[in-house]
Amino acid sequence: MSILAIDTSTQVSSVAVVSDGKLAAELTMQAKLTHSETLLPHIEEVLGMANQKKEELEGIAVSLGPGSFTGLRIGLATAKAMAYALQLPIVGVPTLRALAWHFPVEGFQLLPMIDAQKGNVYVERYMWEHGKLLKKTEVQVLPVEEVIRRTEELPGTVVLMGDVISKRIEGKQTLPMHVMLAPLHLRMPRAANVALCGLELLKEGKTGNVMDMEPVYIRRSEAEVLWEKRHGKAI
Amino acid sequence: MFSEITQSPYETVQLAEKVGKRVREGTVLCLEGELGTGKTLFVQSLARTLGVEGEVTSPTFNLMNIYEGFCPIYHFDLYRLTTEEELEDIGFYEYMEAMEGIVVVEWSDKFPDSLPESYVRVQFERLQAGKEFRRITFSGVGEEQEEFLKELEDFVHTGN
Repeated sequence: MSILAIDTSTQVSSVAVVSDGKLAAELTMQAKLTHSETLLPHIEEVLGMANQKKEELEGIAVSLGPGSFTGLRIGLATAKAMAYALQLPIVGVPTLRALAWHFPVEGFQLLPMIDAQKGNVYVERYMWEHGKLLKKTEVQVLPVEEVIRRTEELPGTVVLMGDVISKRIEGKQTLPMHVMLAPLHLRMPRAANVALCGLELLKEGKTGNVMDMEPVYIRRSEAEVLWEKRHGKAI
Repeated sequence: MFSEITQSPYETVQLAEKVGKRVREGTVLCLEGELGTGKTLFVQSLARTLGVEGEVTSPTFNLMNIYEGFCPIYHFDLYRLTTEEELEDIGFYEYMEAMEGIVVVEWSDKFPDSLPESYVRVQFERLQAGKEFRRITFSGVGEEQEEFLKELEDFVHTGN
């Protein structure tokens, strides 16, 4: 099984080819907001490095969000166009889920977070149990401080990961003793994770449709309205 | 905060060139003022000073233009937008918080609650004194802008 994976949900641009149980090639770089210029050349390069003909791919996995609206649109449009032209199955991988693949270890509370701007983050909570990645809480949009406050109630070691760590947490927030920050190389989205996560979804038959697959956009304005309904005041 | 009075479009161009020589990456400039007060001319001259060679026009219909100069310049025009959701759709907030490049927003006063915590406001006003007279006022919103504005004011007034 050979699949191409793409993650452009943050400033990181990442492309990988997983082929016959090998991570054949991966190109991950922290680009500026120029995914539209770099993504296709990167795909060509990674396919070349992996010696993988695009016609012989068997699937495309793409990071679905939440994340940068602009980044997600570029990634998804590219993945869809390729899947359509090459007649390949496409699979959308939740961005926060793919991040949790950085730490496939039992017993840790994993909190992947992606910047939702204006001090807010998209956050989910995951744990690995018996070799399976289980989502413990659905995606929420919360202020960074609120997420850190909530970690106080979580048992065991908590690992924070995602673009928010470098932008708003490291050196800027005081953390409880049991909360650790993911190291740099396991902090940002990587297409290898998207590929592995995507392969699982493909095996389960959870493929998408190029005609109606959409990024996971969570508008902050909508999230705030929901928050106000539940809590009676704005964040 | 400081103001400059320009007596012709040419003087507005000269002022924008001075701003272009001092503006730092990561700065957001929010331009306010009625139609025809020189906002677009200002952006054109600013972009040219920052090394942009191609055409610069207000993105009234395509909402955002990106120019490649010495650094990227993100040029927004919010004139045609009505809701905050539309700003989210075009990725407005992502660009506002980017550390790279320079952001210029025309008609920013339509969305006062959506602007970043720290930015430079540039107000364009017509003056009675003459048809082409304009008062252009620079002010800092939020922290971090005072030093830049002081430096800019000195540069505009003395050329140093």
